Amino acid sequence: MKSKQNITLKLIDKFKNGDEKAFDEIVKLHYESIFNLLLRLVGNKLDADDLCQETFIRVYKYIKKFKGKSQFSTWLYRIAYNVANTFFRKQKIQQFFSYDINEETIISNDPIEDYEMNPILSKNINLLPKKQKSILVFRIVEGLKYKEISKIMNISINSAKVNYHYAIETLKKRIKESNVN
Amino acid sequence: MSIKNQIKNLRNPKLSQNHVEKFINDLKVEIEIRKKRNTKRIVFSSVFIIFLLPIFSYITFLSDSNDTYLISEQNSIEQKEDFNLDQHNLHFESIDYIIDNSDLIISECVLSCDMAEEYNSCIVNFALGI
Repeated sequence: MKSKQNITLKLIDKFKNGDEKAFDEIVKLHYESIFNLLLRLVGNKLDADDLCQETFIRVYKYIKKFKGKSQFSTWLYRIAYNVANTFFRKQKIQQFFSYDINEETIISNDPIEDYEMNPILSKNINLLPKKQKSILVFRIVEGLKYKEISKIMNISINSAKVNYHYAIETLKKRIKESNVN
Repeated sequence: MSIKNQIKNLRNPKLSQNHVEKFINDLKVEIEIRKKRNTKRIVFSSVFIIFLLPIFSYITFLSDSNDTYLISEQNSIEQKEDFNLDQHNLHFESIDYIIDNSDLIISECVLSCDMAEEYNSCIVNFALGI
């Protein structure tokens, strides 16, 4: 993890000195984790791909301002999280103005389930409130500490812990109900 | 298996090298498009600031400079042309008042007031609300 940070910092230096190819290397290094994070947050490949592009466009725009005081991954996750939040807000507005589109049709558009081993779990993660889902993904899938999550999501550490707890409890309850049905 | 372990074991889609390369190429194209769009925006903003803004300012200046008043030797302001002071919530009683409240009035007005003392009367042009 530390070496990834060091490699990224060296690449950023190169990019700041005018080496455009260094940016490609940065993307290659972090693409998979950001794509998977966004995929878990939005629930389908198509949107995850678009949001991933938007995330790296923002990275390209602001990377020269990155001073290396925090972990690059934290900075990058924060951008991706903000991009996803903007997407959710737009989606909410679209839903408000459309009679036909509801949350389930949006989720089932190119769903994760086609390559997923545990579709019931995936579906139930998708149905969690956005905040809880994000914390769950950051904590379990990305393996981040509460401190990092609180920085990325701009919330208190306690709030991160409480929301994580609620997310786990809700999932347990829903999966139990699914198994009974 | 616990929920946490089940989530940990969720399979992520396998991304081929081609997929990543294609993503980077698409990203580069999109960045170039946005750069061009930004350049256009900057050019348009510059044109607006350089050419159009001074024209608007001049028009505003012209409309403001129509407010003409006479300062008489009794140090009171009389309305010279069709202009209702009450509409603008302004009431001037003396030159001292104008000087004391000079934040309402452009500096030229204060200069003109000095002239008023010298010549007993003068015409003052000023912009309201400055």
